[in-house]
Amino acid sequence: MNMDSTVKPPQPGRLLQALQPAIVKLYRIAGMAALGAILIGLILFLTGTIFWYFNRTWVRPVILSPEHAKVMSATNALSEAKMQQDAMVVEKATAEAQLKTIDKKIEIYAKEETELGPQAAAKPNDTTLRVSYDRAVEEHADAELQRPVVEQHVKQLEANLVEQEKKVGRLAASPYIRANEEKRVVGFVPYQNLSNIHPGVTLYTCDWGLIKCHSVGKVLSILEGEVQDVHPHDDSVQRGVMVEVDLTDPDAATENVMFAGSKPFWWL
Amino acid sequence: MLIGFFGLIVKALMMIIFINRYIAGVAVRLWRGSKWDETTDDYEPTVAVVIPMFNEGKGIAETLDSLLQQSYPKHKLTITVVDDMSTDDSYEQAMRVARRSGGRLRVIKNTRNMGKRRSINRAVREADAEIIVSVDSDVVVDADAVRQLIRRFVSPDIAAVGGRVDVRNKGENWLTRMQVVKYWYSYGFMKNLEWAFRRVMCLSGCLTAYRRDVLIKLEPLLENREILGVPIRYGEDRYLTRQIVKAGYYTTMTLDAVCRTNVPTRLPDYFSQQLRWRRSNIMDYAGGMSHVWRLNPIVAIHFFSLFGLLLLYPVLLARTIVAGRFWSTLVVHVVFAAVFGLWYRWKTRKQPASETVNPFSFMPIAIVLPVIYALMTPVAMFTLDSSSWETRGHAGNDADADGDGDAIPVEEDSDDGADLSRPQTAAARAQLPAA
Repeated sequence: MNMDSTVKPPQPGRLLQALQPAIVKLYRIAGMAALGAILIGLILFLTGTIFWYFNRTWVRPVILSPEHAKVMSATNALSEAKMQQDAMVVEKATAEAQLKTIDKKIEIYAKEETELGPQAAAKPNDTTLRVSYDRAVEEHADAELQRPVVEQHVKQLEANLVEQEKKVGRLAASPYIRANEEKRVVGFVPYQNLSNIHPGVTLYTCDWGLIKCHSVGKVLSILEGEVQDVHPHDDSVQRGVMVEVDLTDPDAATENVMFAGSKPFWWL
Repeated sequence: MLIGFFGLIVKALMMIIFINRYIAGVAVRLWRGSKWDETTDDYEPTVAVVIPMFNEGKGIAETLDSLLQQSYPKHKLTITVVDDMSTDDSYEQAMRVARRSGGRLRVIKNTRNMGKRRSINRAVREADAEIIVSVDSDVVVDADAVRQLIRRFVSPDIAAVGGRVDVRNKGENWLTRMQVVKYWYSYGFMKNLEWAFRRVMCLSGCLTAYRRDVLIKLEPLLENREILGVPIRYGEDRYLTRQIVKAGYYTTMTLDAVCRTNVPTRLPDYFSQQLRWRRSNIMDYAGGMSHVWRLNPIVAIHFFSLFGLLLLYPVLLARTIVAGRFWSTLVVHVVFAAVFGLWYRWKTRKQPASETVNPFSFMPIAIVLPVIYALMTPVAMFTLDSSSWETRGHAGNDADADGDGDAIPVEEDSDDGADLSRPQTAAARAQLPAA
């Protein structure tokens, strides 16, 4: 430590000295640009946060593939329903056959009863005849008793089969099942947005943030079954349902989000 | 992958700073015991107290009276007020005190507005005392403060000794109460590591004693401070301290020498103060990159960690907010603020109620601090050449009070400095010319 001499500030070289004004000017321009970008970013972020907090019309497009969980689930459900339907057909056929057998028995034993009745009355000591007649009466009564039960069962099976056929038809018509054969697009709608979604409502997607929006199709139907997806802005998990959509612009399926009913900023 | 690595770096820096401040610093302090804050009563040099003044109004009388009541031998203590062309009656107020000081107080007037540092330099050049004590014109100094500072010059290598700055307007509102706790941590914990190695990197200009010959030696640096031809007029107390360390001297401090300053009472004032401190921090950390690594490795690691965190923490905050984790981040800050508030309460439980504040006064820091870091740091980074926020609305420089900033350890040092750019009292504000 030299206590006597003073410490002189370092002198920049001549080149640096010559460049100083340009460097400072560049720094100022860069600073302005950076701060401007931060300011714009901040405004956009705040605007976006407020917009998404209040928006209740967003729909997330989902492209279905055979591997999609909902498609696989629907395929399994259809297979199961068809198996049930087949089992019901077999059961109905069995019941109908059983009914025919009963009818045949009724016919036979009714005839026997009619024929043997007078004979048994005429020969009261003929034990064989008496036993045959009693058996015919008993079998006839028994068959008469069984018939309405089996008949009711057949009717029930017919009704169930009609319902099952409808169920199979409904499942087979699902876009999830159709996704096994061709690319299908559905839309996720959280429960809080559901009041704004109905069949026929127009869908929009936007470019340039949320500025340039155009119609891309419409909602066809609201599908059953709860699903979960993430919010397009904050990635929070949302509960909701899928809607079947008909897109006039296929590219809209790859967008992050669609809006239902109107453009998000309808005046633009 | 990259984002994960970034988060890891920030967390590592936070951990280093936390350990340095609150574990290593405290441990070294306990280990050193009575040797931690060594004193000597054999050294009794001549002392010149220098007070640069600009538009301080009646407040200057209180400052000067507190200095005239110092317990230091009167024949060895002179007081010099440098009026930097005040436009109010500050000069007359100072002269009034000078007339009843028995010749111990001298008031000199600059012929033109020179700024704080040059005003001090002028007084230093004219003084013949061995030790110069720099005091801000808006503080009140405890009667024993000068003596306590001088007692810490236990070695010729010690070139500067800083005092402790306390908040004068403690109970004025929630903002001042919050700053009370912040200042308490700044002086009680945050400088411990640097203090342990006698390499305190920021001594507040509110109350610091310097060896005059060192100030003379470094004067050209202070007078001609500039970057790329742009004069830098903020954070000069911090700059001076670092230059002293760079020149190979030791810097230390004491909590026994106390001055009290008014802290900002309004958020805009507080934010403008923080903006100046951020500029000062960035400039000083950047300036220190070339030589701090030559100091003790622990001090160097601490220094670089603070710089790294200062730059990276705003990015982490922005990422957190954009990722929608604002509330969880806020909760973390609230928890830290609560723990620090309660620790403050426990440690100050034996102090008079008038000297302390409610521990929950510190809670607003949980939101104020992230806002400052997220907004002020980038603004400061890109306006380092700004001169529009200067002290006292003229070409002076900022003063240092807080010294080392933010108590919550997830943050880095703030810096220093009482906000003299806008005197906090309404009367003083009213006297400010439109800058």
